[in-house]
Amino acid sequence: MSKRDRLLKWLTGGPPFLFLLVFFVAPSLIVIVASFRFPGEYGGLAPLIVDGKANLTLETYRFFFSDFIYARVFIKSFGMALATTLICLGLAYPVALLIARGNKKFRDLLVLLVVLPFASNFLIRTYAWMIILGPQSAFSRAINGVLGWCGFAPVTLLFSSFAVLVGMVYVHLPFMLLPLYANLEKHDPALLDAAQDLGASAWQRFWRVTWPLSLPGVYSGAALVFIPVLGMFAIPEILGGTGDILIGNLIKDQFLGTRDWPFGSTLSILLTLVVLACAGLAAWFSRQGVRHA
Amino acid sequence: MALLEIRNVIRRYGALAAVEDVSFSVEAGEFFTLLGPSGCGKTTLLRMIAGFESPDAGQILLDGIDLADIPAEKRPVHTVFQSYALFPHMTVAENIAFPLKMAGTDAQTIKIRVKQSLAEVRLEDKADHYPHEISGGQKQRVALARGLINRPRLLLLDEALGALDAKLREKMQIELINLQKNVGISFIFVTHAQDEALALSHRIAVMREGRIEQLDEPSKLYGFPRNRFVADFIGNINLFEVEVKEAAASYLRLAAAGIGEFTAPPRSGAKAGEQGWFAIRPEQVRIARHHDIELKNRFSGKVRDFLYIGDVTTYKVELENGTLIEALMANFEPGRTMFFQVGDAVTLAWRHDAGRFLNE
Repeated sequence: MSKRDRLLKWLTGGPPFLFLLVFFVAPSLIVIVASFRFPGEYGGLAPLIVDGKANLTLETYRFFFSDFIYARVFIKSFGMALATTLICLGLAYPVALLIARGNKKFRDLLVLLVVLPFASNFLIRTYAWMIILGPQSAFSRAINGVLGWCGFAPVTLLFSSFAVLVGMVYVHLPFMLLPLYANLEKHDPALLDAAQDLGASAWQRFWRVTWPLSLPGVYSGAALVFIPVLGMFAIPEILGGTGDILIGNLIKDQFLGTRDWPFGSTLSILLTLVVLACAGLAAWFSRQGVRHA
Repeated sequence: MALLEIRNVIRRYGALAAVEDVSFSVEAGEFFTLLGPSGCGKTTLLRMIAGFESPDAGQILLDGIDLADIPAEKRPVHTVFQSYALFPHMTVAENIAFPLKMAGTDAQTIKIRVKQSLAEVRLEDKADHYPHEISGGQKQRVALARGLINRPRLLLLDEALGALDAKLREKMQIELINLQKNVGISFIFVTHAQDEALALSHRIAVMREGRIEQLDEPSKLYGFPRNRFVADFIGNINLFEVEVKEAAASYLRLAAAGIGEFTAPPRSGAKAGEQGWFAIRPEQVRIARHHDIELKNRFSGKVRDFLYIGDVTTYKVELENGTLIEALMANFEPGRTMFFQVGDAVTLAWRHDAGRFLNE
């Protein structure tokens, strides 16, 4: 490699490398170390070195595993992430398929419509659901009207797990739809002709050809929904009730509420490890799919 | 009863007629070819037989049954696509098993049949490979095996050899003929390559602009084209304008402006005074240096150009009236690649029973 090439390599690769070093690697290391430190007397962190000795402990980890209440929040968050992912998949797949198989002229326009909500702030969009799901909204009244007519007690939609799920699905739907569309759009229509020609019914054509070929898209879409939902705290805070806190809220409370930074760091690290495991699994599955595609 | 019968089929896209009143039938065990330039309607016709499109008018009957209300997946007709359309997420064996699986065949039978089929196309060692791991010729054989495994009544091949290189193509042509003979299933082959059509088919339908121009055996098509389009499309041919001077039962006297009269084979319906064209194949034109040819149809000219392609050389000779005639000569003398130079005065001649008078 010539001197010029080497210089070019550092010029193009250097800034992003530096950026990640300062804003990703360093904070991560700080969080990892913080999880082993004692909390400060008035919140924050106790000094790292006391009397010339490292002032470290495993107390926060012991604390996490000693009380099932925290593991339960993890499990609940997983359930929420899984439900959101599956609902997003169920809603996005038909739409992605429709756009991919539809008229080429309208495809770009439809994809634009899918990403259009990104143009407005996500908090504002979430607050909008407060109005839609609020007790005075037309939607709530219609639902309770039907329930009342059937003889059921009225329900409160807002500040519930249901509201959180609606918000999660709404916000993350495009992240599922786009990778699915990107995958489905590339499918060779001749394969469906061939399948039909060889005796496959419409359902068999989907199940034997389209679905297996779309798995890489499904995996990346699932990862793009599952992982952010796992750490989300804003939506449960706005749309959820007191019992609907997820890991994200727990972590946020440790830093901004109870000011127990070491425990907050521990929760962050455990969440990161779990997410990494999920992402690794998804990447492995998706490679299995790509190998054949 | 014919296996497949196409009756007055019409298919239009807006104002454009893709298939315009086409009728023909295909017999059991026949290798039938639809030949024509791109856009002649041959692929549309094939897709209608397969069931991907429906005719606007006319009927398609298989074993005497109208296929109109039978969807593609229910027709005992399979297609080998130009791109092969192998399922990329399935192994070779799974691809071949697909039609049996769709038909609900039991696993044990599928296993045995796939094994037989793999042996038939000599791909036993590739059973567990994925399509992207095998060569073009092998993909072709997988596509054939997949199309034939549950013994359809009819196999449609859409430009099936088009994606292969020349050498492999020739090899696959021979394999295709043998395979068709062995399985005894009727093939309908669509191609724009006339040499391929001649080599493979029992009968060929030459199509142009949605119509069949001529339907015949390869040798008839080559030797006795019905009109200028067919003559020109199949192989190479010399064509020039002539007038009929005398139309007898056993011969025609034709006159070409500037070079005089000559004798040609008879053609029913030809009348004295009729204008038309004379068509003769380059290999039927003899070329010699001196007037030592004992043929009566004899004209002198000058060599203008030649094309040496190894086994033969094509000489372009300009006659006295300016007409360019191609004459083909086999390079039969070892070491000698050229018998004539550009500018040489030569004599062209052909037998009185060679060539053909065309009036359309």
